[in-house]
Amino acid sequence: MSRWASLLASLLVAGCATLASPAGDDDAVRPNAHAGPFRALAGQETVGAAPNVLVGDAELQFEEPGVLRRTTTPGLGPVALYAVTTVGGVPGIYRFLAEDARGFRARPQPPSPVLTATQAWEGAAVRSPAPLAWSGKVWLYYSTSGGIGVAWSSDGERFEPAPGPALAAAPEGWDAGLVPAAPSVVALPSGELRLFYEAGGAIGEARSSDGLSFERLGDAPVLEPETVEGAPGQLSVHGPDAHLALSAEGRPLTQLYYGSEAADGTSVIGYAARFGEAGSLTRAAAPAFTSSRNPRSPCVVDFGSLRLLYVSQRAGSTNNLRHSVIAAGVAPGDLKLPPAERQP
Amino acid sequence: MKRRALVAAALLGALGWSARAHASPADAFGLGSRSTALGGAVSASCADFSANYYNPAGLVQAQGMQLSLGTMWAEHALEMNGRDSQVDPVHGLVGGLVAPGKLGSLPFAFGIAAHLSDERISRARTVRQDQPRWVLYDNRSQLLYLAVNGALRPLPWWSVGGGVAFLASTRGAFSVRGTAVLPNGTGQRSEFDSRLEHEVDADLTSVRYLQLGTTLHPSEDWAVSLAYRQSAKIALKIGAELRGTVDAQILQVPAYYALDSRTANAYLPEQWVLGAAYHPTPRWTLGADLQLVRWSGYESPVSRSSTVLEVEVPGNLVDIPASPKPSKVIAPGFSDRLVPRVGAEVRLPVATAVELPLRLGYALERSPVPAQTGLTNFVDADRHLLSAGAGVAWLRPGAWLPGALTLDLHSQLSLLPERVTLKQSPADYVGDYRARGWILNLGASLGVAFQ
Repeated sequence: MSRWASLLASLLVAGCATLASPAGDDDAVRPNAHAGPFRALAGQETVGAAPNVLVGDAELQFEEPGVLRRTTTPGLGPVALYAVTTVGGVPGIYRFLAEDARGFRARPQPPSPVLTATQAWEGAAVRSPAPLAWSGKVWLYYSTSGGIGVAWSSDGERFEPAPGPALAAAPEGWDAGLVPAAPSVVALPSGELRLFYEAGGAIGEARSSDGLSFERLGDAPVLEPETVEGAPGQLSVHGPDAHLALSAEGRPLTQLYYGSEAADGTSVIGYAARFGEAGSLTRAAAPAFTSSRNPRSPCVVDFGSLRLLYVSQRAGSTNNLRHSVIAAGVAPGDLKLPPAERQP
Repeated sequence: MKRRALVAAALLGALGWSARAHASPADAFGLGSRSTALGGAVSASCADFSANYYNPAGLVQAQGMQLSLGTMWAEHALEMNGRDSQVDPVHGLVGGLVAPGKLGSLPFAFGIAAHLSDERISRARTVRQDQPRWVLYDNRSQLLYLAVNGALRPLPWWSVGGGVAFLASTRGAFSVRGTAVLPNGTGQRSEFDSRLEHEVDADLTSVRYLQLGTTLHPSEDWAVSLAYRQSAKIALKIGAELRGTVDAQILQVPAYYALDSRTANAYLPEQWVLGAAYHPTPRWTLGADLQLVRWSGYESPVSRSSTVLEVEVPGNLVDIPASPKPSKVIAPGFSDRLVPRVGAEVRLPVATAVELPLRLGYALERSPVPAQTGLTNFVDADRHLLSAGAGVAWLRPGAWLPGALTLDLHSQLSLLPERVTLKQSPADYVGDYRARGWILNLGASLGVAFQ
């Protein structure tokens, strides 16, 4: 009897003596719509002070990014980033390149602006570049004081602007008299184009079959500022960035990222979506990206298994870093990106 | 008389301790090779150490002292959207004893059973409520389980039993004090110049819960039983405190950060089991159990945390983020479930004093988890448990063992059919997904029975 008890005790002690292995599911790939929330890039995921990917100084500021992939190969690859770049107080739309979507130099390619205000209806400046690869060309939508303009290019470098606005202030409707701005355009499978734009602190929608002239949809904004009990009220939603996607079960989605400014002066990047191509947008339960540096003007690029978010925000949290830079985040947030390589 | 009073006091003490309780690997995979092979449909027929889990009243049916020791190994092949969820395997030692005797003139038995993981005594982890997880498999079975029971047979056709089960629980805190150096970017000052002290305080405690059972034998062929297992919860409480100074060279900034987190790390639902066993011949045993599992009391495993951040920067030179809002935990809304179990055993004589028991079992555990169309992602699916087992019993092997030597093997295959989750919100960050999988549980038990 005592021998059996000794054997039992020995086995129990032996069982206790083994070391535990780490929890095995920490690296598991879990379902994820790849829509966010985005994690700010960190460490060597950018070539400079993360999460900034395009940095200047008080005399060289970057904002309102619009990014276009230069290849359809899955994974991080070459992109062209169009941004409003203010050199010595003079803004223009410049193009910056990076082979890994992050290693930008603060040196545009070409060195001169790809688009400036040259037509009377455009006013003094062009802003909010929104590139779109469609029908074999690069289409660049942009904001002006006279409405939303469009220019096109065969190489993404030399653009020819249309002679008039693609969407101007409406004579009537919810945005009557308001100049539309901050365009984002997506191409539906049917070939129709959808334009999301900002007007009066809300976001509206329009459609077009030729990309040159748009017709407003609906008699109300698709997204308005929202007041949530217990939280600072939203002053405006702005800077829309639209995408088409499929859910894991094949349900078509229209996704919209936007800047959201609160009454207390803070801003975050919001996310809303709808099933299909029409109807109201449903907000996500949480912002897509938050930062104490007041991010705005989102632009999301889909690389297949991950998405990068580009925003304009303050360079840092201290008083000497108030100038605007382009920063980036990644979703899913638990992904770790390889070190970024600076563009030669 | 004194002995009887001691036993009564022990049982009453056990009842008094079991205020709230806990979670167990026996719920997920069964206990002991014989009972597992029979699909767990043994509450009216178990008389070995597994009665400590299935029905303590069965202990008093043992013919003599029994010692059992075995092992089990369960591998998960659970996936979401076709990708392996990497749910940890469960393996460990399983064993126990049954010691029958007399309490005055009444038959009495004492039993102990244990499932001892060979990797960890307890496991604590918490995740966001929107993170997809196999909620009933990632923590529930990663625990130490120990049960201690007693049983009496007041009448030849009636036995009762009860006791407590123990599970390991964790609580802890950590604090950090000192001065953190902000690097100035020139390389002259680095965060590695910081002088910080940290202190970790962790306790491994036990939680206890009540088990009761009774068995009636209306005839030699029949037995019916009722067993009860109390609800149990393992709570994880972590407190953290950082208090110190941020050294920015030109100024010293006092800073304070506090975190308080509470989590229901594992939950064992209240269970009622109605069982029956029938012996059409002395060699055959048929069993059926109907188990009511009160999953409606399930508490969300999501951490309820609150944080406080206090930093006073002179001159508003740096933007300090606001303290995060306390997390809002969504009620999981699990439903009670009836789990049917059936099992059959035949003992084939293959030689003089040698028997070959063969066993089959089946159980259906419908998922208690509601459709996860909202923010939470508690992944689960219905579970079909198919089990089989075999063994060998060497009866009266010699004068050195006036009883029996047994070896039992079991295999249990759990099939979880595909479950599709379609999200209500098109802006859900997790989106639609499919979940399915299987679990294979293998094991063996070696037993010694004394007459």
